[in-house]
Amino acid sequence: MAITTIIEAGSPVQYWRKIIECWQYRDMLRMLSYRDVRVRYAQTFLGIAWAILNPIISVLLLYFVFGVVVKVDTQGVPPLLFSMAGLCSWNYFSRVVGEAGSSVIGAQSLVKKVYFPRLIIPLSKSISALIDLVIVIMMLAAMMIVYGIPFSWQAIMIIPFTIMAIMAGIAFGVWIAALTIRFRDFTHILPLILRIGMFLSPIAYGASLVPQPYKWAFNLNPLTGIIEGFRWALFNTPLDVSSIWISLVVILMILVGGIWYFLRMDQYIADII
Amino acid sequence: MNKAAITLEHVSKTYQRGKVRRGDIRSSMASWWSGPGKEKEEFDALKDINLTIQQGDVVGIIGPNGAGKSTLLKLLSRITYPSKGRITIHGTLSSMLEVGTGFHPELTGRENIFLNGAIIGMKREEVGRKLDSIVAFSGLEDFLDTPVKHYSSGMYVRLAFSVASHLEPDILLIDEVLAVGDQEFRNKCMEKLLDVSGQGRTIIMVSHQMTHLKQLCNQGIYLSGGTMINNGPIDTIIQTYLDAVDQASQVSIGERKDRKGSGKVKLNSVMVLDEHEQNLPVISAGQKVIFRLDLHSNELESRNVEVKIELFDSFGHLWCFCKNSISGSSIAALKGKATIDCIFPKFPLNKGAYHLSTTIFVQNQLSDEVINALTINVDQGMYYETGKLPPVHKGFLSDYTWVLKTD
Repeated sequence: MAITTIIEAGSPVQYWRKIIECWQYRDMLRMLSYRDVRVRYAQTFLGIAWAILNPIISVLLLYFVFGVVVKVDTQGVPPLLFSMAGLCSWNYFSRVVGEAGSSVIGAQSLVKKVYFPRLIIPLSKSISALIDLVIVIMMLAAMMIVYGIPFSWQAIMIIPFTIMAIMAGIAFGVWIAALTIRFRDFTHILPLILRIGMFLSPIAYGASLVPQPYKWAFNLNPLTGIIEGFRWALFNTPLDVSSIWISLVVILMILVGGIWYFLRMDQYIADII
Repeated sequence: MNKAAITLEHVSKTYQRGKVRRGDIRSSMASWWSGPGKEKEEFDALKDINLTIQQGDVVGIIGPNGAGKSTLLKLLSRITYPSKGRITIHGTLSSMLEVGTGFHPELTGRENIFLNGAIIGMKREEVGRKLDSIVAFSGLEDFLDTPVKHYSSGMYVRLAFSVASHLEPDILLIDEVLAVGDQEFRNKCMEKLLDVSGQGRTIIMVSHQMTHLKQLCNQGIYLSGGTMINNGPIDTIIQTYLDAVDQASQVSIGERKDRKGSGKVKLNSVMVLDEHEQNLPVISAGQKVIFRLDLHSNELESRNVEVKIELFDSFGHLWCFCKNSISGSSIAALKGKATIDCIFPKFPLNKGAYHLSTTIFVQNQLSDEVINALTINVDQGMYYETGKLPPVHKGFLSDYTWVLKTD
């Protein structure tokens, strides 16, 4: 017989094996993501239009507050585009984290009945939310054409920053998912964290506006490097390269820690959910 | 020479009652503060199970509710992990899901086939390859692109089972899934299952339906209270189980230990009486029936007592849910011993055996729950003046009239 599985009480968690298993279940990951995208827009009256309307409203709001009322320095970039470039990675990030948080609890009918690597539930959220990211980026590209801003080779650099945003989404999403299973309080804490994060990320203002004494703390926010990177790639705004590296290191640490914590919880999930 | 498909060595599963691992931050911090010495209420869902299942066997797991049958399947399918012991599984293993698990109502039949297939561990190309066969088996060719929310429950079952039955694991786990669907499709499923077992696959199933088990299985495992009472050829095991059930029903309810709750108010006995308050071994559908519950209160005075009677059929489907606080006969206070009657003027259930469970609440807290306190048998009766009854398992009985109006 080809496969022999041994389940032994108290045996140490086999982290690599579980990660490989996620790859073996990639078809399920794909179907779960597909289902999320289909279902999210299938039932609503405006359907997929929400994916466009939602960011437009957020951008207009940010534009009004930071561009019209406060008149933040946007380093020569039209304020609307400035906010939009900041918003696309944040929107993606907050969607992934927000949905991943309750995802495992939301899937409890599955979790209690079928075996599969539980990690793919929060992972699927990072894939299904990509559609929103792509839509905002396309809108941003259209706006850049309207404003007559030339594209340069640098624009290709949004790809590595997008990958960083995906990693950040997974890193935080997995943590929040695991913590929400353990402590239901996180369903209340999460919106708060996301709201704080939204103001502490340089979405509608530049990181350069942050006073020097706070800068190191500000740079610890992994979204700082990603958002600034997006704007550098598209508008060639000045970039603090060290903030990118700090973001990357922070994201990797949180990602590894999150996956470790989640996998350690993995075998108890069906019992405590 | 047979080879083992599954071996269990000293397998136990202990659950912690209450909220120890789960819950809110506050209680977690509190338990951290008070240290690990804090008492935890534990109970063993399975105790020291040693078992070998041979390849190609079709094994039925039987036992009363709460015996650990589902826990055993959950352990085998790795949904939950053993607290002690070791399980060795040779070959691939899949579970046939309860109908509808992993279906999404908004998606079409076709999309759901792929989704469900992926969830139970089929590869995308495998589902694609078998799509025609799955669709043909379900007989839902015309509805493939309709969202399943528009399906009838029967169609739902067909689709779910069709996907599941195309799974080709070495070991297949089935938990009570055959209890649904219409008879014709059920038979088709049974054939498919027999076919599957004919290919040398190992099947492990849980069912309350002895006839199904007799038909499908060659081996049986009898669990009770988390321990394995016996295993061996299915016929012997079923007989052992049925004998035990008979004996258990002779133990007086007051002395039964398999109950839950605080015990403030407890059930001593249940009697089934007819209109003359005489004992009634078999109820005739439509006659007056009194369920007489003898209670006693272990407190000086128990306030706000609620009593619930539930009747389940052999599939575990709930047919009657009777509670004094619903019907408006509340018990404000109860002292010492008391008797409460639940009276059916016309007993509304069709022929068959039903399990009666009772639950008592005191001030909204569970006081005493006895599952399968009693098995009652209902026979043909004069519910309707004609003496005729609808086919068994086709709904409850109700008073109605037909009025014909013609020009």
